[in-house]
Amino acid sequence: MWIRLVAVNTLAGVMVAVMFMTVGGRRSFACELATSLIFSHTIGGLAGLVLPLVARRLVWDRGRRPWIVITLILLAIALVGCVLASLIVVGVGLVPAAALPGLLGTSLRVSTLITLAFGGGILAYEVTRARLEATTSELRAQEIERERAEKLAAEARLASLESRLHPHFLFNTLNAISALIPEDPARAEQLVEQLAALLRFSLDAGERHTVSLGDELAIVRAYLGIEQARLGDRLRCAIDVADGLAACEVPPLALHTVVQNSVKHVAAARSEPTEIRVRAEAHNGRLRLAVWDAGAWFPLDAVSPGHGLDTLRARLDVLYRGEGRLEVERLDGGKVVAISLPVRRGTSPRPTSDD
Amino acid sequence: MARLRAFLVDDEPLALTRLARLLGATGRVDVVGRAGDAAQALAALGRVDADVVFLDIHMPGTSGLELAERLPRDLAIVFTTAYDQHALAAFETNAVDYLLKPIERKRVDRALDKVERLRADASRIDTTAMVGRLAAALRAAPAPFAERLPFRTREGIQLLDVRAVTHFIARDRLTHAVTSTGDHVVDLGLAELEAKLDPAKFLRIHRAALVNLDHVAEIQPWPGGRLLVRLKGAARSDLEVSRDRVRALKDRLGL
Repeated sequence: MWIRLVAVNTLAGVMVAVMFMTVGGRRSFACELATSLIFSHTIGGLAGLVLPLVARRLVWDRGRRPWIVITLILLAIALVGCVLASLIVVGVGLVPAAALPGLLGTSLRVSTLITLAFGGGILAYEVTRARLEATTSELRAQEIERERAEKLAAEARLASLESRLHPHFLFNTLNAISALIPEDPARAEQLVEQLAALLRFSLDAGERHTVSLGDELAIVRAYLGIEQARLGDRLRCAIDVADGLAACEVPPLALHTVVQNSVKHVAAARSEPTEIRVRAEAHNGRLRLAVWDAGAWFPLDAVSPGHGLDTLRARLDVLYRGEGRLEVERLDGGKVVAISLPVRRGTSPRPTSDD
Repeated sequence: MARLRAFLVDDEPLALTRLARLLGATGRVDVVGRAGDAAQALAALGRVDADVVFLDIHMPGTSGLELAERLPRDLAIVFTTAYDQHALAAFETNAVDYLLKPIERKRVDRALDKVERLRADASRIDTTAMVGRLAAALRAAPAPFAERLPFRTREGIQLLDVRAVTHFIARDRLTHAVTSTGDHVVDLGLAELEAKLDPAKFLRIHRAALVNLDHVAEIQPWPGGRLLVRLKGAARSDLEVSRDRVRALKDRLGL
């Protein structure tokens, strides 16, 4: 930066000296060169201090007419620089004190022209460079953000399709329905309805950012109904929801992911009967959706990347910008996995038409 | 031909119901027993005679594939599963066939054809081979998972209920069975215990430790990519999980 500035200043000084000599100077070339170098470095130094600041501001002030301001600034630089340089030239004895007014007059005219030409050029260059840098970093930030959002959305979509429409779950449920048809047709019918509700909700989930807690709980009940039919006595459930929370907005399938995790890794993994308790409550503006099971406690860090709970944590983080959390706590010899969110109520109730 | 004696294993009661109904409808089979997990199946198969076992692959703890390894070689095995990438692994065991759920009637008939063909072949082979098979079958008779372990006391030999054992630990060339009330020296090594006990319950977490998963209260990360297992109960003892056993434990706990 400074090397470039010194080079430009020296070039301007030499040019002016050569110009004076060719026009027919009265003094020696060395003397003329020394004088013009003092002028160019003084004015150039000032410009070097001021112009980057101006350029940086100009990057953001698009649309207005900045060239009038720039010209005025350049003229001011030329004026201040000329006076300073003239005093220096007289001070070092290159020109007698009596010739000061003449020197000022000549130098002002020449310096103004050169400052405008060089200053304008340098400023244009600086502005372009700063704009380019700003645009590049902005683009990079946007790209990173977009990639992150896309990745999370893809992951969530994948996780929801894979786990809800998991072939293993689907075919086992169909097998259970086949078993029930001759024995308990009413229960078989109910199971078909529950499975259809779960599939429809999963397919729609990708399109929506939030659903009402009431809708989410309905789907959790349908899911638990299916799992109870499959696992028989091995799965007991208790759902406890505080009054007035049905309209709260929650991310679709978030609670379902936690419940499913408990069923898959605790209830279905044991031969003995186990219980799963779902609890929804609100305190101090925060909604807490908690699922208790008898499984071993673990810190969230121990969860492998890509695991359902890991994906859910990332989803909550993005959706609520750090205000949505997943917590694992010890309770009653088992563990609670809880989703904690700011309470947000839907503005209008969702229409319940069948279209 | 005599009716086949079938034993059914599946952790979903409705799946058992449906399979029994499909088999009954063929008129070729007597269902001689059912079990909901590997431990029950091994215990029951020691008591009843069966020709064929219908075995679900996904069950809590010990999978159908693992159970198949413990069954006598002359017992025909037909795997049942909802959807699996395990088809190849299934045929590496002594599987005769593989049924996908929901099971189709005509596929059941085909599986029974295969079982009967196999048995017909077996009855035609010469006596030497037959004796060989018989000896192999006897050696590999199904042993149920141990429920009690003997240990020596000054008064004599006593029996210890394995459900009360929180973990086994190898120390000073001895194996200690630790319970909430104390510890007892048992005569078996950890590797022998691992083979005798229900793998659904007991998991080797370290060269020197075999833990009862029913007694695990929590998991903690531990330096060096290891884990720490904290046991339930007042003592809340900690056991180290060696690096090479971390994956197995996480898989078992669904992490």
